[in-house]
Amino acid sequence: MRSTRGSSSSGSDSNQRETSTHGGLGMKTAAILAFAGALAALFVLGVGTGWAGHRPNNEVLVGGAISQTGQYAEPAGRQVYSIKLWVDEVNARGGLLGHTIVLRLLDDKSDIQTSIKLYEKLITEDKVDLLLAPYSSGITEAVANVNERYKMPFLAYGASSTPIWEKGRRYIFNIVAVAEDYQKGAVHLARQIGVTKAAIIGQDSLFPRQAGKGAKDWCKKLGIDVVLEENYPTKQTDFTALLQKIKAADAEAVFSNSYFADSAAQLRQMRELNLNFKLYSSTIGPSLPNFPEQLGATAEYVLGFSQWEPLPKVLGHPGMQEYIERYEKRFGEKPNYHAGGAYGALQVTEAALKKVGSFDNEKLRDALATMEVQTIYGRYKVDARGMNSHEGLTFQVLRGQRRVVWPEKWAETRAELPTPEWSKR
Amino acid sequence: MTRVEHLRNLALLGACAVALAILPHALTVYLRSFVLFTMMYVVLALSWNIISGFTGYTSFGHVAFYGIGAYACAILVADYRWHWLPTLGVGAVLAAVVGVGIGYPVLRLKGPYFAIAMLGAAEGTRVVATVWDGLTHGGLGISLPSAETSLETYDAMLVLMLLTIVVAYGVGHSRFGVRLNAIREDEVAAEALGINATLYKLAAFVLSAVFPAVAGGIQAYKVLYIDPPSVFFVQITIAMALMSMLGGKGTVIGPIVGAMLLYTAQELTWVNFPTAHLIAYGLFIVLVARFMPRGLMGFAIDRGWVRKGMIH
Repeated sequence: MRSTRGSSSSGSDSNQRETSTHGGLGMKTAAILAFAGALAALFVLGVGTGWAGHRPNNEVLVGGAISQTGQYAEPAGRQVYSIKLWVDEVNARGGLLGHTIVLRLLDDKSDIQTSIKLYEKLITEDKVDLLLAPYSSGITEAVANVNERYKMPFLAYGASSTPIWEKGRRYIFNIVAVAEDYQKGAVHLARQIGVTKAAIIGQDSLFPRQAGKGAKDWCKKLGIDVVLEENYPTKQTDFTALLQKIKAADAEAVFSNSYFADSAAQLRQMRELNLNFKLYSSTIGPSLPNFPEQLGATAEYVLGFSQWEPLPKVLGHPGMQEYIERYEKRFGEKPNYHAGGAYGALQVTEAALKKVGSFDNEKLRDALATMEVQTIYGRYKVDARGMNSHEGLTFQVLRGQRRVVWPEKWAETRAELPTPEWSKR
Repeated sequence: MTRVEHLRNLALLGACAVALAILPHALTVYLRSFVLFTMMYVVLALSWNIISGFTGYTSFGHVAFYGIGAYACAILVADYRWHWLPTLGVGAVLAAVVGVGIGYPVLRLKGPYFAIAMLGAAEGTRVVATVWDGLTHGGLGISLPSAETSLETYDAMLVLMLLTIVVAYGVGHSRFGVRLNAIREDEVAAEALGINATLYKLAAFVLSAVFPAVAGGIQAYKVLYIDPPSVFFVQITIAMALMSMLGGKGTVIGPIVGAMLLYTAQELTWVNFPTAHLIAYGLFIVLVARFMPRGLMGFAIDRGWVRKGMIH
């Protein structure tokens, strides 16, 4: 607002000048002064919030920008929970390498441009000692250029699209299972029940398309014929034509690379049209908490994918039980896989820092590239590209519950396939 | 205004340009990006103002041109290995062509019909960018080769901003601009006076399409990753309109001041109140709409701070 006042008063000054000189100068001057004012305000702010290179009180600055508002706020918010939990736990047990963590978590508004700018700010202005990852494949893809430039590594927990790791980048690592493996379990189960023809459909954006590519490769490997492959626009809700087309192509199984709204619409319309398939699987929709409740009987027998579930007895990763309890106590809900992934990534980062013994980014990078760590999320060990071979799990909605059905070592129950006809659901 | 005054304004602009050209060397990369994006919004708001402020045709789809420019740059750089600078020219030409294509039918509509039609046109462009897989890689987006671009893109945006200001100022002080104002005030009367309204509207529309396309191209090279939802983002259009209205649409200075103020305000609120920035931003807009419905320039004119009738 200071600039507003600046522009107004200068407008008044030059106005008096103008009347004598017939000038039209006032507004121009005003604009310049406003710009100068805005810049000055920014300088003051920059100095005010900037951190010195050497931090007082034995502190270490950990920073990142993650979506706290906008379209990704929901999943990213769970990761923020895990980050806060981890910071408090580390500080309670004496800090990171003996330094108290000061957390600087900014909001990228789910916007790529903002995210880029904020990472530049965190690195060059706040001079954070340790970087945290953003959420979503698109934003991570853009941010990866920034941290690469400044040689500051981070371990991504919100991106699963392979192309990010196929550009020869050295400073970005991944903990989650790749998009290409989201349908892996479903394709295996389809094979087991003798499916020979399948359709692969999906929303047209970065992540679902990668998942679709993976599904196609798995079908090829297991000898399933892909008779139809189609991407639909992001906000499509009417799938009747597409579903009829799938039926006409004689597909027995549908691998849908979809989120909540689209997979729900597909299932409801399949029911309305009484189109029966032996198997229907969706990447994201069924793993969201309210999917079985909202769809009721329509959700039954649907296959879904999860990176991780809060099932310590099934997965058996070390420390899981305790993590789930602490998380639930603090936030009043069980952690989902977004939360679990973020926490696992932070455990890996902490272990890597301990191994290095300092906040040396180059050494931290080398440690992240080579070390093997067991976390609450599973095993961490990346390949040459920086990608983890994390294994996800496939579940089936059975009588309103999500039950793990694949891989066999974690299966809680046998998958009930092929899906019965709609009249029997 | 006399020639002397025009020259003096030009000299002032020149002084600003020199200051802004030296500035980035004293700034951190983050502040450099901040000034770059501020300049980008000055370009966007000023361009929007040519069709919507001067001519009175409120466009809710200007992001289409921004997106076209961004895609022209990304495709040519990533897939055809062009240097990024010439791609900006391609984006500008493409936006002009699309501008004629959209403008010719759509500019026959008035008021809310025009606004809605433009909204539709922008959505249509986004869908084309999503569906035309072979060219745009659809929803996969395009990743540009990584490079440190903050100085180059800053300088390019500075040049573009100066050019836009000169053109907007030129339009605002020319017979062309007066005729656009006449169309805004009463199109039928303007035609009765012999103004070829269709031609003038189309010219203003194309002019207002070209600069956002170049801005889009520069930002694509700055951000290095684009996909349809991020460059055909409806909020970018809304920002153009809000910034012009805050400063005072239909003036030359208004959109400049509006863009700088709103972008700075946005940045300050979310840096200082990370969880409440949307509320603070919304409140700011409500207060402006309530107390300065004609923008800062209208507010100043009403109080006699700026000479009445001097809207440029």
